[in-house]
Amino acid sequence: MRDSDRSVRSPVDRRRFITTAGVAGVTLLAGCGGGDSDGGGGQETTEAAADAEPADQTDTEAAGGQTDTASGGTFTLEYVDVDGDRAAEHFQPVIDELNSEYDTQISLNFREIPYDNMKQQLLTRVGAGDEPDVAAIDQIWLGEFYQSGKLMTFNDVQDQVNFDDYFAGFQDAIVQDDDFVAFPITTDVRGMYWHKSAFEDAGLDPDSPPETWSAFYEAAAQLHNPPETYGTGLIVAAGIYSVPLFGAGGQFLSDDGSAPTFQEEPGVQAATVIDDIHNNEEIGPPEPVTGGSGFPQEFLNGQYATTPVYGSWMDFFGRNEGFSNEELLNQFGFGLTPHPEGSEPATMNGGFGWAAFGTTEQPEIVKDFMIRISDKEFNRKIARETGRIPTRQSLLDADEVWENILWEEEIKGMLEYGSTRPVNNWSVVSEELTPALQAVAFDRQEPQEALQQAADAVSSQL
Amino acid sequence: MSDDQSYLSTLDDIAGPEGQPMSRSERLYEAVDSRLPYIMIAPVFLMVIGLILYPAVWAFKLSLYETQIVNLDDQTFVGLQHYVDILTDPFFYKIMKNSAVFVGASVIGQVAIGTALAILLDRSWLGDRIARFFRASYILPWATTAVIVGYSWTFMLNPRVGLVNEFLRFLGWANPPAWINSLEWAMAGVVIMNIWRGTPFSLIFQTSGLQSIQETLYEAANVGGASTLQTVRHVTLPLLRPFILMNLILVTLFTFNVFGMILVMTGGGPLNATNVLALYMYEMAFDLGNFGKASALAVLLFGFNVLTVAFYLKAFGGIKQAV
Repeated sequence: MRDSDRSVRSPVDRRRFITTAGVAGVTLLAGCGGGDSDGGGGQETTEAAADAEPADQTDTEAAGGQTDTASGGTFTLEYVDVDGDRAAEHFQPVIDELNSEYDTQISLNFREIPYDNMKQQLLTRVGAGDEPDVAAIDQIWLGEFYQSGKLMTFNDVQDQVNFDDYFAGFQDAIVQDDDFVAFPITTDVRGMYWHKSAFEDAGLDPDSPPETWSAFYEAAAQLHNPPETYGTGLIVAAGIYSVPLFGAGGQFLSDDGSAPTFQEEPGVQAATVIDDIHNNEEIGPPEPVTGGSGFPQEFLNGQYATTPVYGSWMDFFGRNEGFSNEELLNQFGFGLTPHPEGSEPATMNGGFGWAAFGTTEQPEIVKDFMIRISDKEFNRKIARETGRIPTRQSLLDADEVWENILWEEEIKGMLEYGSTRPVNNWSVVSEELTPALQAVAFDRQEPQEALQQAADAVSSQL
Repeated sequence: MSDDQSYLSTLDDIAGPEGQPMSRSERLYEAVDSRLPYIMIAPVFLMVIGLILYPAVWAFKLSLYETQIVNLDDQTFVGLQHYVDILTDPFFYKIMKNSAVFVGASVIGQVAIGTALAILLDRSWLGDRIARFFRASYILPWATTAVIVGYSWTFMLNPRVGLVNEFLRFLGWANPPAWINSLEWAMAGVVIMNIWRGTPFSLIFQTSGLQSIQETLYEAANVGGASTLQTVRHVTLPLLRPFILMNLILVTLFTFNVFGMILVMTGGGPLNATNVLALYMYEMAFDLGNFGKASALAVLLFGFNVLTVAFYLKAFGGIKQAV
């Protein structure tokens, strides 16, 4: 049978198909060819003429809405932050200031990313060469981003920014190889939370929380009423462990960051707290908490009478759960984490830093933006409007800064005892130490043995 | 003259008598026509090369280098060192054991339940309207985003206030499992979640298989006096064999690559009890930033997938027997 015979029976035969496809292809190629020609030529012309005549905004938007480097062009500053705190309206006035200073028409592309996704998304973008212009980076990630070699440095503006005003821990955190690579934004502290009503019900004074671990164990035992309420609960992870570690006088790494030190006596003492809570005193839940999601809600809903270590952002979850600030203050206490007898209390300071990527197409504008947002007055505004603790020492006594921060006096007291985690190699430490601590909590290993194994694993990767 | 007749006439004119030299347009047509199959598959072929083959080769190349995700341009050749490190690390074998349990239990659960449901709904035992309703309902888990599934099951399996334990307490189990907080039960929790999500795929897949079985075979079985179970055993299941094989292969591959739901639900914990190969690879790449080693893990994962397919084909008596 001939093809033509078959074709007759089909409404779309091969010949018709090929003819139609050919016509369509030629038409398409003609269209693309014209476009390519114009586009390629157009692009070259634009580049060649950039110095002489800036492209208009429409052209720039069509090219991706990013930038026209020519004076008088447009520039969209991409800013990436974690969701929940800062917002575009905080930064728009700075953009307006920049617009009055520069010929370039500057706009802000403010993007929020959930904390859990932030690091991965940013790392991927940096790896792919698609960095934003500015990002709010958790200080414990700074070392990794510095390795990219793409962070903008700010050594030349030290005087303008007054770096010495930042808390000591942050001054260390933002310096890499003698380069200033970020500006601290706000900080947070870790401390103990407790349900005041549970204290009252157990005959304890809700205004006098336990100060030492032994007193804490006693109080938690009195509060322990499973399965309705556990005496205490804490997330078994390296970050939470930092407070008992600092309280026992320990550190994660040696001063030069070349060797782990958490397996030494203070570290063992700190890990013993986890062991005591879950296995010796049995004042926590039968299964240790190993994931952070849901923990604050469980605490707020009364599953745990106390939590000895949690961040000062509990109020954020409280408001999400429907508590007003007044209710939070009335129902929950917040104070220093218990510490070993005879030693000083401790807390761990976390926080974010503003970093910029030197690969931006407008380094001058971006650096100016960074200088303006790190200004003391802007820091004051951010702290006040977001209810977050400022990182500048000179702002600690400014009343307006504390307007939206709960437990003001307690937090001010905690800041005296603050330490920070290592900025470099924190991922490695956390990745090895967290399972070790969980092995202790699940009573699979003794503290000394678990920490030593983790330390050996960390040593092999430093 | 009708349109068809007119068209026939035109075709005959173009074809011309045999032996006569072809016109230019005729030669062009012949050239295109003889290559038409290749032209038709070319776009797909290019997509496969661009989207699958090239990244796979690139991943293998990257696995031979030491490189960090933040600086992919800075690469140091280390040969097979990453593979040696991985294969000599006891942690890798713990991960592999977890992966085997997770994949094995999930695949058995999904294919068995999916096939059973498909047969139940296909034989009109429940009535057509009810069957259609259930088919439409069962698709929902498959259509739901993995992250949402992970979050939903985190709350469902909450030891204290989760729906599952509430139900178990209602049934009289005073101290139900702590599920994802428990070393012993966490894997069971993620397997249940994965079976819940993946079963609809098997249901749909097996339904399409069932609909390819001729009704006359069932009528013959009925006339022969076969019971329902005998019909399923001797008619349905043998004829579903190629569909079950493909279902097993696809579900195994899907399950080997699951990490998002586990990441959300347990993060691989507690104490790495639910850490599987795909999640370990993700952590290596994005938590530790070691893209070279993560690529080596990806290559190994690919190897396991290939081995699994080969195993299934062998178990089903070779590709011809199976299909």
